[in-house]
Amino acid sequence: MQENFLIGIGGTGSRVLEAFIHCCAAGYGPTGKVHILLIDPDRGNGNLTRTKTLLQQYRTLRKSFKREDANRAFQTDLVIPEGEGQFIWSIFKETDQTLAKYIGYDNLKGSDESRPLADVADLLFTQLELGTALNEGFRGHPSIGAVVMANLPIDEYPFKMLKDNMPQGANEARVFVVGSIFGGTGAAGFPTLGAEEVLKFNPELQTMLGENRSKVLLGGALVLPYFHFKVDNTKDEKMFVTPLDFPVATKAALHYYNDKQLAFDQYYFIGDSLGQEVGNFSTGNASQENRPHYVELASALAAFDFFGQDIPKEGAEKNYFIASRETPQVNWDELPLTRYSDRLAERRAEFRDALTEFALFSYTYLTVGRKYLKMRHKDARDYPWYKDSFATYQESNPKDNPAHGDNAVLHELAASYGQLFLKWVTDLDDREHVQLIDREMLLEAAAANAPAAGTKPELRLKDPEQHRENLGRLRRGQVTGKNYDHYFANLNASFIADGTQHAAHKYLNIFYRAARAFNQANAALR
Amino acid sequence: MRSSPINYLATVVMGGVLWAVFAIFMAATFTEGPSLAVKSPEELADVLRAVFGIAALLGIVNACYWYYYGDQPATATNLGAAKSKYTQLFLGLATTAITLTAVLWYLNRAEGMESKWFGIYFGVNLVLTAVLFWVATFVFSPRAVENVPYGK
Repeated sequence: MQENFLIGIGGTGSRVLEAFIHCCAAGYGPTGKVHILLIDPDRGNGNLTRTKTLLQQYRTLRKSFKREDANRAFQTDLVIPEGEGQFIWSIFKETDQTLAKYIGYDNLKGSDESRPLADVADLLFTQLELGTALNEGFRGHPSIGAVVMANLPIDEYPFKMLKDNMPQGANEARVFVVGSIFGGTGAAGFPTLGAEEVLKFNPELQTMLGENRSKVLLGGALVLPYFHFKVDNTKDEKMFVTPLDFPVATKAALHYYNDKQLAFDQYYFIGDSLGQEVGNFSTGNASQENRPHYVELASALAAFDFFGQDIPKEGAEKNYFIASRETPQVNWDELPLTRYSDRLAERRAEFRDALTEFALFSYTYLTVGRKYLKMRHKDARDYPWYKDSFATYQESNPKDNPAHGDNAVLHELAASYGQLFLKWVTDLDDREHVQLIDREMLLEAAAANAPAAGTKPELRLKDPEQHRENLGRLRRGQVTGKNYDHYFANLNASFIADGTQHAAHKYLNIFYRAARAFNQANAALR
Repeated sequence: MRSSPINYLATVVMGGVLWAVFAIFMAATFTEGPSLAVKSPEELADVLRAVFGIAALLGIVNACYWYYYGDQPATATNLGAAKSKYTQLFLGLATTAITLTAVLWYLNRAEGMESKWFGIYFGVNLVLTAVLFWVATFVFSPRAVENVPYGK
């Protein structure tokens, strides 16, 4: 039985995972489980924190919300260790860790017997590399990462997840590794995990099935340089990476991967020449929180392709996949979705509909849905969708009253996730090159969305009752579409009379139904 | 029953049946009961048929307008305005019933008819206008405004 494992490495790995989770929320993910693992020494990294929070919210909402069978959103079970087990390997257990401390440099230097080893360290690393704190990452120096990541703690979580869930048949464990090739952590971790003895043929993991046969089908996405940031080193950091280092680092890494035969069965090479700016300079920590980028989405799509591929033949040749743009713009038709050309149109429609429907759901739930939830029952019952769905309304019973205080938790979870999704999907849209969901249809002007100092950023969404035409034009480039009045007609038709459904779940399901129906009708106009 | 053109046709049938009941089948009751100084019962029946016909027609037209209004996409999102519109139509029809009764009184002022008959004619006019409108819209209103009629 197939088991899927997704391993994100470093900041880029976190961000790809963010895109992966959002696509799963939208219903584009596989129907089974995907075990999630992250590797990042920078515990406080803003990107990592964002992804960690997102994953927790996804899992909580998925567990709390009873979806209808036809609703594919959140269908993927994203698995992390239960209880105290961590899904993030932070590499170092202590703070202010340096390479010198990690290898016991001072002890090596202090003893005549081991001094030659210290000399080797001196030969391979500069004093700056040996002495720089590594808890904010490897700062573009994969050689440091390669040393400290050499021994994976297979018997500890998160790697123990691999051991706990290792299937029996050949190629049944589909392990997908994603990280950047041009930074520090990703560039160090990718070849480490790709070494034959680490995952593919690891006796401890019991992945071997005789000669050259393994339970693990190993895939990897190497993310090539794809963004820029402004270098403004006000903290006077001594060791850090800048965009100017990216090409050199990438070239060196590609040479290395070419020379050293890694155990990956399938490689995806993903990059872009647009060089979009994604935020300000940061060596790491909480300040390293960047705007999402479509290359991260493309990398997540590579993971979906890998997990969703047909059963590969044993002993098959290595596969290399490269995707490139044919136009200066990235739109729905330019995203790489599948290795199978005969399934491309189907997958494209599936992906487009999943993201649009979920964007529609999130937007309408956060605006229309929240509005009616705050309304008094006697006023809301004038609306057919509400009256027909909550015919057995009893104010004191949470099973019949969607706005009951006991249901507030689910509504908050759904609203919070909807906000995160809309933020992500609208941040992808840079107006010039990336043309997916049109942020201008959803969000008030940029200035209005800037959070006040010390406050939690919250999206300010346009009121669909004021901007009645926007709902039908969420996909950038769509000039005409159905409007808010048609959406409301769909909402009226989306009532759920089923008395066995809990009111809060029913309320969310109604908005899913309406979003799907509206999207299908609207798509017919394109 | 709520979708077009079934609701339009059903309302026409309902109005037609009510008119036939009051203006044809019950014509003798309404014309032979009152004392008439000049007109014959047949002449009064002709007047009643015409006035009841106008009442039923106005009831039907208003109900059909309500269906049209309720089918407009923008109506569903503004039920406050729809409620006001419904009240306007209903009160307009009640006023019409009063007006038509006044017309009947004016046309028969020389007959010396007992006033209870004008009360009965007012009741019939009310049934053919406001009550017909209410019953028809209660049953046949489009989905978006189905909960607007009184008593829903």
